[in-house]
Amino acid sequence: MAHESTMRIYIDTESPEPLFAQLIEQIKSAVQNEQLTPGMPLPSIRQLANDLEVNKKTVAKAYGLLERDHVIQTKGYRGTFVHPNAVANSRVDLNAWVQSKITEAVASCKSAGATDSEIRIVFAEVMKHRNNGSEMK
Amino acid sequence: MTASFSTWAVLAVFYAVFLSQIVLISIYYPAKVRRRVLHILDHYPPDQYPKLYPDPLDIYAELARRTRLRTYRFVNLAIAALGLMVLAAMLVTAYRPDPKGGDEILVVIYFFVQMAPLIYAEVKEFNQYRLMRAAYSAPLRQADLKPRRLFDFVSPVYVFAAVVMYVVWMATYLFGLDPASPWSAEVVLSMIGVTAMNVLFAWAIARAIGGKKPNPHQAHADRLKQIEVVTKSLIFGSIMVSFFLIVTQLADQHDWEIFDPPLTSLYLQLAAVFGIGLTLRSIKVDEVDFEVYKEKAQEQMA
Repeated sequence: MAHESTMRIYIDTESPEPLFAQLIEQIKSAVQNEQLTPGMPLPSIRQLANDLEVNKKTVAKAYGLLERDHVIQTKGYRGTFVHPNAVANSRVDLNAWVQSKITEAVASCKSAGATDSEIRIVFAEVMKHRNNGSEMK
Repeated sequence: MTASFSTWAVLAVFYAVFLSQIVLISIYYPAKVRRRVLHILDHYPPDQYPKLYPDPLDIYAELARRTRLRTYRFVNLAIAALGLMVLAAMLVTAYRPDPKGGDEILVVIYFFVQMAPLIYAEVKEFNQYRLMRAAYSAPLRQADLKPRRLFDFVSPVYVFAAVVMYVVWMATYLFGLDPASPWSAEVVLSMIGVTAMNVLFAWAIARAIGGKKPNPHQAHADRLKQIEVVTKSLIFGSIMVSFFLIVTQLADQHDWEIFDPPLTSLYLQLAAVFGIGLTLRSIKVDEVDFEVYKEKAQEQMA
């Protein structure tokens, strides 16, 4: 049987960047470079984790975040595929967006005279209430 | 239905098939395995390919392997001699196979004796991989971003054939049951046993395709080749088991049990051909990438 060559993914276990982030970055980059095209199948979490000799939870986390960002999609038992709108969605950097929003909010609070510790305490409380709320649900 | 066969014809078939079992499993394949290991030791020595020899006592490892190879050869030849002595004893004592079958147990016992050196070699290989994994510490790892699926490695026709043969065996077996006591313990155990064996094969295939690779240094192309060989040998194994069981079932129904010993021997030889034979034929030692075992080879995973 012929085994065609395909895109390969690399991780560096000694890099300060978390392993799941390395996976996400490379998959998004491959989508933008059209090495991965919409509809292409991806390896299962088990296969990729075994091949990279990493914990399955690491790959599951990467896949989970990519699925949240609509870069990949899981179709039940059929497996995981590149999302039809992956190219556009892979350009969205949610981390950068969150950072800009929080920077704006912090800047507003600071301009109103709030101290760093007040901002931290309120931020922690807001997060705590949100988490409690989602647990209640 | 009964059938009568000339005793000489039955004996001639049995001696020919049993002789073939002796030569194939205790002389031909062991010689091929030995030549293969010698080729590796001669062309890929520990000083140039250290990752191939994870044994901490590498200075003596090559010598020890050559000694073990001589022992391997001696043991196999001794087993072959034992088989020939059994054949000679049968000739001298004018052995007649039991017309009701049952003598095939001797063939099976001898087969397991023949397989003992090979099983020992497999255990040593597994230990070698374990040492390789323990010594392996590559920070840079890589993997193919493509799912590996069953039909990438074996034609759907063979998989379909394996399923059909299993169903045909089940039908043949159930059809041939004694109507007075169809669900005896033996029947249930046979059905569970054969089904469990097929489930085990399926599990082994799934593990080969999606599991961790045993040899951490193995090149990607070599790994794909190995998965293909494992997958094919297990699928062919499943087909052969079903085929053998169907034939013996039919033999039982038509009073041909006298042929059970040669049929069993033939089946075991085919199992060897599609097991070790397929591996030796498909994975040519000259085509294996040994560069990955060099000291400064790029450490890679998958």
